[in-house]
Amino acid sequence: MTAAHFEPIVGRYLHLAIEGAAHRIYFEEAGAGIPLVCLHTAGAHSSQYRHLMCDRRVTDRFRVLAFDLPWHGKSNPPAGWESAEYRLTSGFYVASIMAFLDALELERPVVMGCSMGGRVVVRIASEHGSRVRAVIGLEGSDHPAPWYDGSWLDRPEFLRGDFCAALVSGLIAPQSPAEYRWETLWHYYQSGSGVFRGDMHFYRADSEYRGTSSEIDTTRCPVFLMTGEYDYSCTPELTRETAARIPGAEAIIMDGIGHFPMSENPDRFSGFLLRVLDRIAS
Amino acid sequence: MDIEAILDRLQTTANDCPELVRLGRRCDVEFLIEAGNHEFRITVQDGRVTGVHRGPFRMRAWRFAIRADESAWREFWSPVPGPGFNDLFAMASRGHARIEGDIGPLLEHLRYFKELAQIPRTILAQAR
Repeated sequence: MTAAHFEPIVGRYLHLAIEGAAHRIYFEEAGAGIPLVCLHTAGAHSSQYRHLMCDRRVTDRFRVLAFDLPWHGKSNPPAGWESAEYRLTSGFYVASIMAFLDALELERPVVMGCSMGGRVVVRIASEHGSRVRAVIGLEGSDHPAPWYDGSWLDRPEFLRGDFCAALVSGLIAPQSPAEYRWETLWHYYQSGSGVFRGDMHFYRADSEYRGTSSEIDTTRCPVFLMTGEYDYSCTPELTRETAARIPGAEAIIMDGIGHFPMSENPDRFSGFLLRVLDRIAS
Repeated sequence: MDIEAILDRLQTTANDCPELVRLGRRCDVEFLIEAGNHEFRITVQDGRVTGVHRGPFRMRAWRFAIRADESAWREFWSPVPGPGFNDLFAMASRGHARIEGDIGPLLEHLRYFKELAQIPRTILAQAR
């Protein structure tokens, strides 16, 4: 039995405006140095990055921050949420990220996101490339490529956490440790009813960036796209195809990893990520 | 172990797993598994497998079917399946399997069916 101990992670609440509306946002951070802002997957929350925040090889050089997008984790939905259906748009997602960077006055942070976060960093790089040091898209591409039928979104199961977990469970590589597999899925069990479904609007319909991704200036904002070989939501082919469209972007395919590298197999993932962080920090 | 011998053991092995039975305790359905030229109709009642019948079937109803080549099933049931073979939806989305019919019961009890479909992995491991 491990003795009681604290992790280095500290959590706080932040009040800020996104698209003119007041929001109360929860975020966690650890470490010091270059800001590294981490974006969680659809229907999940910032705990996905807890291992990264406890890895001294990262936190000795990087200030790792992860916030819960409104409606997710411990971030509230805005007042009046009860009278509207939640649907994540590309505009709101980018506005949330930029509001967070501005509120914390982060100087040229690295922005790293996974899945829908790996998608949105492509838009961050093309629209805000001068504001950030680099972007890392985990399981990311520049356009939607739905792998299941859209009619499923209208089924009542989509409002249930256990269904959302079972839906994404196969995206985890079989090599990932059982404890971390089930912790990754627990985040989906925890999700507010309809939140994962609302995120799917962004992921499946409102994130077509192929028209602008080729214009990203990777000399100003390097783009790294890292995808697990077991991912069939954002496949290695989609990642390579996106990297080929962005001059100077790099695709890294991670063997033995699925759609949730930082939470499903943090030890294996760190081997891939540290090499990228070394290059960003140098 | 041939495919029919594997499916013959499905009922006992699945029902010996109390956690699986608990997951499916509100599930009653008949579905089809096709492995190459072999068809199996599986009956689930209250989360217990109550019948595994070998085909071929003529004019026999089932709610949904999961069809794949025998080699795809064998990869799916291997100890560490390769990419595209580690999950029913991985197989379907990558074109290694087809899911047909009324998928309502499958989605309603998704974790149950995903874990039931993996039971032959346990059967083959026990046979080694």
